[in-house]
Amino acid sequence: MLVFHNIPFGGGDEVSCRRCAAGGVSAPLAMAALMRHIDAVLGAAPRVGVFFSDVGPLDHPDLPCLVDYAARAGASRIALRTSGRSLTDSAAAVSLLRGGVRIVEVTFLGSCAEAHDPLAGTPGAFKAAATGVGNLLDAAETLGVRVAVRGRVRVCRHNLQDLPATVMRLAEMGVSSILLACDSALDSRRSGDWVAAGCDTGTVNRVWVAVSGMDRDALGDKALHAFDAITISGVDG
Amino acid sequence: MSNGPPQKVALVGLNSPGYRSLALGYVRAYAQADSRLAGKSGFMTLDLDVTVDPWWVAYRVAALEPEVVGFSVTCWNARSIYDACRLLKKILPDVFIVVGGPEVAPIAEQVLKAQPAIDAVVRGEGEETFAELLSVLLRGRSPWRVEGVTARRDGEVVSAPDRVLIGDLDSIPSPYLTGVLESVEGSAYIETYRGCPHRCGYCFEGKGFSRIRSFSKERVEAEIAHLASAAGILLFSFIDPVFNLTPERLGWLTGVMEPYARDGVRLHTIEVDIERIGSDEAAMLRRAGVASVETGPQSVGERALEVCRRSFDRERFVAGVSAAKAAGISVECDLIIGLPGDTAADVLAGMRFVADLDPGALQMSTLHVLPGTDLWQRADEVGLAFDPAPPHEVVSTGEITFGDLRRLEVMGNALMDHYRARL
Repeated sequence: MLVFHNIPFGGGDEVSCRRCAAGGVSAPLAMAALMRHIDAVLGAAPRVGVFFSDVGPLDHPDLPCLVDYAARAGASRIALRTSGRSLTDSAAAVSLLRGGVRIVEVTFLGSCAEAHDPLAGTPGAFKAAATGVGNLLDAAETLGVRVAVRGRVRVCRHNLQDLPATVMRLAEMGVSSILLACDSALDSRRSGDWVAAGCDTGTVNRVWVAVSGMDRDALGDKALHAFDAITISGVDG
Repeated sequence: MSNGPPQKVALVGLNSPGYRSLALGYVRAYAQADSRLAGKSGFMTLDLDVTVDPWWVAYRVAALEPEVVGFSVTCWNARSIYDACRLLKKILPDVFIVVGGPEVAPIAEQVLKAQPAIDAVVRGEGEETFAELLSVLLRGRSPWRVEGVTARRDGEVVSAPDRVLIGDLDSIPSPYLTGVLESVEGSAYIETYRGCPHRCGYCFEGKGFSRIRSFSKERVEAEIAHLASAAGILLFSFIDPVFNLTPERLGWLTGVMEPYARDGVRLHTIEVDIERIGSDEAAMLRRAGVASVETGPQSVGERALEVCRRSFDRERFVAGVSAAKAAGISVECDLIIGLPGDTAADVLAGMRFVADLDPGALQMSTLHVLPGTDLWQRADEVGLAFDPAPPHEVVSTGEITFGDLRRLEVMGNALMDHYRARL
């Protein structure tokens, strides 16, 4: 499928379940180091996609320069991951797309504020993420560019039973695909049915749901969901 | 039906938004030129979008107060047309409803048995048959006697013998040169030949006819010149199944289009045999105003290719895509999900293959088992289950379950979405 090379940015506060573990805060990588990484990736494989990951590319002060650098270096697609918080300002969404980012992965932990915010540990986090998705899609329409917004759901035992509703909510928002990134601590035998239900919810709503971090056998007759439309090299979920 | 001339004939197309039916243009141009109908029949064409509600279609047609209505039916508009016909018969009980086109022609008797509002089906090429049918109706004769027509005789559905194909396509008056068909928003369809050199089991593009019959070069050149100059056409849509049918034809069409291309005229995405495109051919396409081409592979699974009688040379395919891209031509690679013989792994391998090529555009479609195709005939033999109602989407295959087919469709859509999201 579409191959992206991972460029971790460092920095920021990852959207993760605070009831499972405290989120880590790390220092953002310097621009020079990130440029060297981009050079290395595109030097080895010109015209591939790059995926700005880790926890907060949108918070990186040099993001616009780095997007421009990757575009000039020949990246076919530029994708990044975000909590969506930085896109609540519609101007930021427009700016992001103008810069050349075309695939944006927004992380969710639940189907609504009542489910998402307590796990994220941040009041208003769900609304911010949902607003970010909406702003991106609106900006794409305004600018006349093709953008793919991808929902990433970090799955743990605390949001397992909310998965079908979360997938439904993301489908309503208009995402192009969804990744269920399962926590390694999840017991596949107990969680497989809920994950499969999330996959089915996506299928009937015409949104592809891929699953990572879970043994394919645990998905039973939904094993195709172990395949994703995009592949990000060097990233776990 | 009324006996008094002129016989009012309405031709109705439910087309993709923004298009007009070339098929109805041919049928009308031929009928208008038929001496048997001169002064006795009057024609109206109603080109509507396929999205129009059947009640509104019936309303629009009824307002024309026709005595004969002809619909051009494909798998995409069949349901709407059947609904509209049913309503129309209630509104105008005496109207004679004729349908033709790829969806109904191969299964004419089934269609008449299932659709009591429809009076006749024109099988095969419609131009001569429809004109003769109108002539027969004018004289109060029986429509079921007309070659190429399936109709009812005393309530029984009967088919007259097939009609021989039109040998000289130039005998069909040009819908453009006669003024029957006008361009829409600066674009127009062009057909330079009928038939298809390939025999792919899923395809009905050649309408079941292997013999290639061409319009004369003079006729094609006259149509293009008329449209490009008089009508100000900026975009031509060539509907030929294979644009690069032969090197000679490609050279000729390049020579025809090149002067217009220099003035900004462009060709809408054309279908090509990419495996026969090298740097020279790509350069010719570019000079002709081609910005994008559409091609297979449809599948990379050996078994499916074999069952569907389709050839695929991976190396030549890759070379063809590279040559086109090097010439600045975007390639749209098509895959069909649900071909018999393909496993889910084969479909995924196909997606990886076309994504890795980075051709410019990807198109994933679910198999539609079309009437008249080899797969329609051999569905049971090759393990295909499909919806008998149009558009005849595949339900399951011997290799892929119903659920996995739906999953692969959704995944294919996601791949297309992400592929399009590029700089």
